[in-house]
Amino acid sequence: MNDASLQRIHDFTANYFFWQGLRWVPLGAGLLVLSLQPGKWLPFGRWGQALAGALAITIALALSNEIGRWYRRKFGAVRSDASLHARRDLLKWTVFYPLIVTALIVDGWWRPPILMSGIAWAAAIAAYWASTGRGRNHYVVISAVFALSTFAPLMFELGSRVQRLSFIVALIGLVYMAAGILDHLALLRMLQGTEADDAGAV
Amino acid sequence: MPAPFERIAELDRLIHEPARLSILTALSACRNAEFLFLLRLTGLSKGNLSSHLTKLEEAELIVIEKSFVGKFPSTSIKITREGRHQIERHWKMLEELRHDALRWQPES
Repeated sequence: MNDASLQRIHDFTANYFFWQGLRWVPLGAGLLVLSLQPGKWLPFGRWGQALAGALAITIALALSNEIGRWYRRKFGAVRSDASLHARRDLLKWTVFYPLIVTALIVDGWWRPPILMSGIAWAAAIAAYWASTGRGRNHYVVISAVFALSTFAPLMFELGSRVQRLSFIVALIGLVYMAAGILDHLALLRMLQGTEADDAGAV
Repeated sequence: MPAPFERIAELDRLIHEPARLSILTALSACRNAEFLFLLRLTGLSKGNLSSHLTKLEEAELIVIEKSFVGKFPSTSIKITREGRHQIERHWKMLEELRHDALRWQPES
């Protein structure tokens, strides 16, 4: 037992919710459905697409909730200590969420030659990785992917507002799915200990 | 002044035992955790984990609470204020020991 493994135990327990990666996979799939452009990939119009997107997100949230119950049954629950995450929460609400929303508005309305959302998400993901103990290195790769996506308008046809927003939402959806699976594998590596049939007994 | 290696004897064995150190470290990172979580995290058997938890509870470093979630029994474990203080003191002491050991020169 060394300092690094104790630190890993501390960071993992403090951020256990975020390691429950399968929760994010249905949400990623929901975002992918939401990103499909009406008339191009879906056999119905704008309202039909909005309805399909809303339905997909509703199903995704219900599935995510059910997966959360499965995690509790399979691995047990941890009640997080909000005081440990006060700094992260403050930065999230005052810096990163406003940055992401502003970048999305700029990308959708002003359509600059590069995607501002790529930079915003790259910064947010890097900060998230650092604030959750730097244990899951796939977030470094994901942050780099978002940083590269900044130059997507130079490589793909993303001229219209719909094309740009669809691209961003699809990329976030794919990342949710990939990161979710990798987070789950990281959780399995941490919690490979004894399975209990009757966890209530002490 | 004792050499760093002599100070190792000053470490509290109740806390320094690897399984109990892992348990207290995990509990210091949350408000409470279920027995099942600690079981999976430490890889101990149920009996072994129970035995460690009992020792920590007797020393008033943790509190064990039993309840029902729906129809299912649930055991959650919470670190006490004293437990948090002890584990933080222990980490600090380990850090100091490592620091001193790196700088230590045997007397000629």
